[in-house]
Amino acid sequence: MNILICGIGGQGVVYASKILARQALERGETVHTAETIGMAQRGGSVVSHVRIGDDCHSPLIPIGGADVIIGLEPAETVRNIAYLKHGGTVAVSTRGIAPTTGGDYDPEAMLTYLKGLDINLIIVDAEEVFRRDGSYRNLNVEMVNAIQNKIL
Amino acid sequence: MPIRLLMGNEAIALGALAAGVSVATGYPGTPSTEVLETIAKEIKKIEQHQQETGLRSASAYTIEWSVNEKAALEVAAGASYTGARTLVTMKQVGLNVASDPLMSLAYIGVKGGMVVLVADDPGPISSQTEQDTRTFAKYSKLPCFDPSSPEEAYIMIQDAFELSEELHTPVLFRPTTRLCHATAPIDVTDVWKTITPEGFIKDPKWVIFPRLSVKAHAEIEKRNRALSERFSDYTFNAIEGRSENFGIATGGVCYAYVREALKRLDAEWVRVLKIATPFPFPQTLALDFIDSVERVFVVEELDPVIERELLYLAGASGRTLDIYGKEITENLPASGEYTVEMLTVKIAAYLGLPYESPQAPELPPLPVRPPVLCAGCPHRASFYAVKKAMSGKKAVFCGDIGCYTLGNAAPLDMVDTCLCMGAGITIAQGIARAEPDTTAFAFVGDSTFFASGVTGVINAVFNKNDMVLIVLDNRITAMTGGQTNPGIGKTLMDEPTAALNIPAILRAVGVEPRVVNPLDLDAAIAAVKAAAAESGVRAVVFEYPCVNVEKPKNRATVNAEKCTGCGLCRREIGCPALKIGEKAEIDASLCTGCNLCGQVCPFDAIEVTR
Repeated sequence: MNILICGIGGQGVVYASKILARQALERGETVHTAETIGMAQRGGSVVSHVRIGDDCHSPLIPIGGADVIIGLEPAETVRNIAYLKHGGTVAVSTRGIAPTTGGDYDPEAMLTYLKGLDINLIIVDAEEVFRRDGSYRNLNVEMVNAIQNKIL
Repeated sequence: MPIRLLMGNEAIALGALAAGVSVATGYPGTPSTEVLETIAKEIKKIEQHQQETGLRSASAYTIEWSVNEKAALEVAAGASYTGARTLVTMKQVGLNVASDPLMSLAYIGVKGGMVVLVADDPGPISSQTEQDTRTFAKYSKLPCFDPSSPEEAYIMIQDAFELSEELHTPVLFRPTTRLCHATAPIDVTDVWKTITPEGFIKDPKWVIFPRLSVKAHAEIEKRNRALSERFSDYTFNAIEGRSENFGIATGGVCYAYVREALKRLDAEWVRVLKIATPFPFPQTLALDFIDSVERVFVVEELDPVIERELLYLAGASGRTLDIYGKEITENLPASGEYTVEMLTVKIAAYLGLPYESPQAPELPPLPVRPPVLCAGCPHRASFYAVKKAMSGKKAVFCGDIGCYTLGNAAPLDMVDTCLCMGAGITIAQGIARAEPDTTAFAFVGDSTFFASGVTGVINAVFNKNDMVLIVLDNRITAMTGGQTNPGIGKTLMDEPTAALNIPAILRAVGVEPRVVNPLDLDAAIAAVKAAAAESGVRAVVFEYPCVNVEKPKNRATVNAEKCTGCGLCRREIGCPALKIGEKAEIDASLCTGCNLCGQVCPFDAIEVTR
């Protein structure tokens, strides 16, 4: 099982991958993860690769190798869609985050693009999380739960 | 023994502790930073539990962020002279700084096992260069280990210490970014070796002289020949697979990529030579491999180290063999990071197997997200003040290594040069000498100032060079995640220590600085203007802490009645918390209330609540 988690620095991408990895370890499975950390943290795209199973060699999931993509941000989900396996599942948050450098960005267009693909798409309403918690902080955990309820 | 989920860097740290390391030094640099941080964390844990267990004493350990990599290596070398086991950590460009002592130490040797961990960064993902420490190993004639996974790194670092101590030589240990930042479940031991250093024994062998060097050089060459033979039997150097035709030679994290690609191609029968010790190269093992196949595809990132060794061995021994790789046949890129996908395509072609790369989906236009200075970053204010002060004047802005390299981005556009640690200060002097009608500025952060900036300032004073030094003192080594440095008053182990005062250091070398809070925009601009108007070595020290050290609780808000939506604030300073719709909007989750935007707004439309 290969799970790719993507989002923006500060959204808790790495934390979400740690939750998944620890759970797999507790189930007695072998798990490897890899993170993009460093310069990319500052407002940039962040991707975490979680690989569960004995037969994974590379720390990173190959293109077309992810069973699941957990996208904490619509455009980042689209950016990483090439990693998805044929017939794979995508959980995407509705909340777009505009680039810190400005410029036009329409998250709806990203969601529309995803809806047009031949994939299993789970749309997670980030605003519901916000209404409940008063912040988006738990969005990462919420997304992990959404995926687990559906497929893991 | 507990299974722990460990990042490659954590695995290396715990392996080093298990091997009996008691002195660990380093300078922060991605992707190596977490090694020393993990060691510090583990030792702090001992400190907390010491009274309960009474087993180990934290005071037996010396763990420090040194002022730079050269200092780190020399401190570790001194400790090794006494018999302590020592670890030095750095990124690949740090090795350039440490190479002066290391080249000589290769001749002098050590007593306690000493491992120099140098993390390479193929890509490069967060570095200035793509240099290959395996090549440095050959140049410095030092044994080098190149692990292929975090699991392997944990064991291999312990082997490295044993070898170092046995052969009395520093040993290089070279992971790459993908290994450093990959996590794996690792069976870690709770039992750490205890090494009791014998102490420093006075002996002429510790003093490098040409006579000693001649002898040492000859011995090193002899040792390396023997070591090549020994490495041919080393567990992690191996031949796998059964093909008598197709071979692949690889090492480091590329080994993992090759295994993944072979699995995808259902071609695990290919004979694979895995090189874990690129220097001294395991020649006998490699010759066995050469004899077992008809052709070899060499897969390695950065320099063609394995490829050249195989070419040399085949040529020198008169064997016939087709060798494909990056140098002669150009089957693989000469630079940059490799991926499983790229290698699957190349290996399929090499094996004559069908493989269709997944079609890259057509994507809608995506927002670009370059790294930027944080909202409220004092560097933004400092750059903006200099920009305003020098508006319309001929000036050049020399940058340096740190978060503030990001000052090059629009709209600030305030970094004209960036070379290596500390270079901005001396580059500025060169430009000013050759182009006297230009005001040459050099921006340097606090950590870089201590690491190698202060020597450049002394050079300027000594040689009566003309420059304006701008010190961006944010009281932390921020770029690598917030490490301590000599200006902070706290060591890596959280012990209070002298906080070196940058203005006082500047005064001591003959430069009277202006010390300003960069968030006071008018005062900041005035200070820069005044400095620019003078001649000789001038300095402005901008003091304000990094927002990630203490997140300020202030918030700026937009007064919608006053705001005209002109967007000037965003255009001028490019703060990520600012958004311009019909009116300006401030993202409360990012804003620190620094009020730089408020000072820029011509309509007084931004208010700060404290």
